Amino acid sequence: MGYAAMGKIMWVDLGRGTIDVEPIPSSLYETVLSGVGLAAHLLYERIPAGADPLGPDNILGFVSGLLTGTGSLFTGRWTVTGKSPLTGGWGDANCGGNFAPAIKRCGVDAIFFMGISPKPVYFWADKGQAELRDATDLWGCDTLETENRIRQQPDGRGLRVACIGPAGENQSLIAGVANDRGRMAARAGLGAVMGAKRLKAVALGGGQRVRVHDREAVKALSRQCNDTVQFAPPFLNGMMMAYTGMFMRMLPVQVAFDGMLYKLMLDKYGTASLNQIMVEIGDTPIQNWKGTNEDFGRDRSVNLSPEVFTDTMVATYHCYSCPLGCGGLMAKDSPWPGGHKPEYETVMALGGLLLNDDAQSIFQLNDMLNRAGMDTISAGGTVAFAMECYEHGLLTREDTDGLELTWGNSTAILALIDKMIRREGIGDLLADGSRAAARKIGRGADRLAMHAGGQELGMHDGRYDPGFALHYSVEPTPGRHTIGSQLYYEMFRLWEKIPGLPDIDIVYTKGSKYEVETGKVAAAAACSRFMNILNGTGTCLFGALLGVERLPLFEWLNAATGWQRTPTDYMDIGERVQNLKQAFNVKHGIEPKSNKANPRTFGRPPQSIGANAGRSVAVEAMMRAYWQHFGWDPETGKPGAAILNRWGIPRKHGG
Amino acid sequence: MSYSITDKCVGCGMCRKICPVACIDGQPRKLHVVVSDRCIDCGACGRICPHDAVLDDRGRLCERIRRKALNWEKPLIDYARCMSCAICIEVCPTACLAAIHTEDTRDRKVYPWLAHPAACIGCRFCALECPVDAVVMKAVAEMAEDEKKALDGPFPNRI
Repeated sequence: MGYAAMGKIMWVDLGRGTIDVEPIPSSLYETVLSGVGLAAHLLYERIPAGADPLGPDNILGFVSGLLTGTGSLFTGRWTVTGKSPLTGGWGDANCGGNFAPAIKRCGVDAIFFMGISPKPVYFWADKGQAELRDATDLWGCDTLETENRIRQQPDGRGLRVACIGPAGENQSLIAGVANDRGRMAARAGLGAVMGAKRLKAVALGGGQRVRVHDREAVKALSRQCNDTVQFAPPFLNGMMMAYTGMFMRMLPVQVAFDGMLYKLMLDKYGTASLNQIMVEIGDTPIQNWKGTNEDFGRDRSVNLSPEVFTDTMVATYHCYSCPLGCGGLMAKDSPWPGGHKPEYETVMALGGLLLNDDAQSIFQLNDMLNRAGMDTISAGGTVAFAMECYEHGLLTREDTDGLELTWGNSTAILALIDKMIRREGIGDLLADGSRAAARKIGRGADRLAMHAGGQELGMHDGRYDPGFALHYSVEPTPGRHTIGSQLYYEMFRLWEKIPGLPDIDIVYTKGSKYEVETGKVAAAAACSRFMNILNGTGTCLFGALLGVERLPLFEWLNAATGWQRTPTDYMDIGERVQNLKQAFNVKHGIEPKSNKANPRTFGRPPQSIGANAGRSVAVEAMMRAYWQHFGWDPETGKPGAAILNRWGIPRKHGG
Repeated sequence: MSYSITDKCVGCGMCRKICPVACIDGQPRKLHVVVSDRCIDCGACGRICPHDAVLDDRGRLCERIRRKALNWEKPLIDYARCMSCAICIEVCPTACLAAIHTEDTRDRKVYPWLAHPAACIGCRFCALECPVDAVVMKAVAEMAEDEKKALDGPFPNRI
């Protein structure tokens, strides 16, 4: 038996009610790691081409990371995977909290669910036993209530719970999976898959420990990493950061960003630290991506300043194995007791994107969406789309059930999202995201839907950082802000460990960001590969943003597994997984070209005012170069037989 | 490897009751067995067995330790060292540790503490896995008064 991995996975057939354990050879972990790689390998083989994402043939997996439970830090993320009903292609979403180690405590690396249960059930595993339990009483409960009720049962104390809320039950295509009081694996719409399978929750306990090759070596690396994380001089406040953003916008040159600075911001405010600085700098999309920082100036963004969000929290929230703790828990006597502080993405998707500066409404929406189990990014993006439709007369007051969907109308936003969660009236139209809604509305509404391949984009503007524009369009999981960007590449500092990767000058011209050249493509591809390693090991992106010198990911891997691999070897694993995900999409009939984001989001036409005035990104040229870099067809983005063969992947598609 | 039970076993069932992963099978007054692939080597069966019938994962006879005399170890947490990562909480096979914080915004740190002391089986997993050595195991009978107080967690007067 190998180290770090448990060497087994569980298969649950919800239709038949059977549970089986399958051993996984250690050679497979050496080829694809665990986490997203293991899932991509298995689901590429086992989900039949053309399977209905909401049908019995789709397979929903809950997978832990290879480094989870080894004593390494920042490695507490689990991944939910399957065929995405939102994009029709490969779907994964990951989440921190306390669920990742619980999967391994059951003695397995992953639990996969097949078929459809005839009635609502939840999966329970503890002390070496596993069974499907009736969830009729839990059906209809929100995510916090579901978790509480399962854990309050006589045998429930040690259980860790991942579950869906009403959004997943209603098969909203923008529903996610929640754990640990409303933290969400939100993207790709996999909550709808769970709802379609009538699987309300997965509740895990157990006492299995992870075998580690050299535990003391792992711990020594963790101590070193922790010393870096605990360094925190007192400084910074929210408005000061707004001015920093303004200053950076006005500087004629770009200054490379160091992960240590972001760590300090996270330490003090969590992701809410970005609330004002990113608006000023031009990184936050405003008013359905048509507005600019001038439409959401400091006089408005101050209402959503970092302090507004940190002042309401009573404790920092740490995911498993995280020494930083960027989350926040709300006070028991607040209107949102025990819930989580809104994150930057949530604040801006429901704030700047809708020209809404009413912080109270954002707290309320955050709580509603986390309880309902609906993705805040896609919900915000879809409301923004509806508001612009309303502005252009594509939706009328009659269509909206009387709601005045004007920009910034927080009362209407609250009412609309409530309807989306319930699938009521206009909410039913919008509950599947902006692409599905645009198709139903017709009359050219699609040009107002800011999605890539069906998924609403994250709150980082590709016109400010063309890396985001490229990754939104080119990834097998389109629309995601957590895979790569020029900013991430600067912070990962991969060139310090991997020969041949371009390093970044401390100061460079802003115009150079928009040039299509081989160095940029190599950097983007490196982000994709590296992120597959992070998602295969359960590592947090924010930890990785410290840089590979400060977050000893490769060293942890070798110490925990006993392998003697170079960082380049691990990057090859990342490339194999990227090929698997792309091949999955092609097998399921996705044309990679069709995942290109709405042209407005990358500056076509360019904006005439604001931080990104005149900026336009050559996304098509970058996509071609990226595909070519991976050895895929530069015109179609499809991996050919030769390249798949090189990575040991059987070809499952024609063309 | 796993713990095992010798023929000295009289079938009293104490090991079966304390095993946190339910890996010991056996009828009352009959020889008990450890289901080896589920055993996590926590040692609780060996510490509790009154009949010297348990061998550890290396085949050595386990020494009985009197639990009622408070000779079983419990975790003492050094809160100055603790980085709030919850590794100790999540590795505990009996879920006897939990996270705690106050509603006072002047101290926003979350801390682990022994929320269910009666459930603790002294397995030391929390201490073994803590990367910053903030957990020290000590028999309650050997603890000084202030250490016993520390078992009540970081906010003994505020809960």
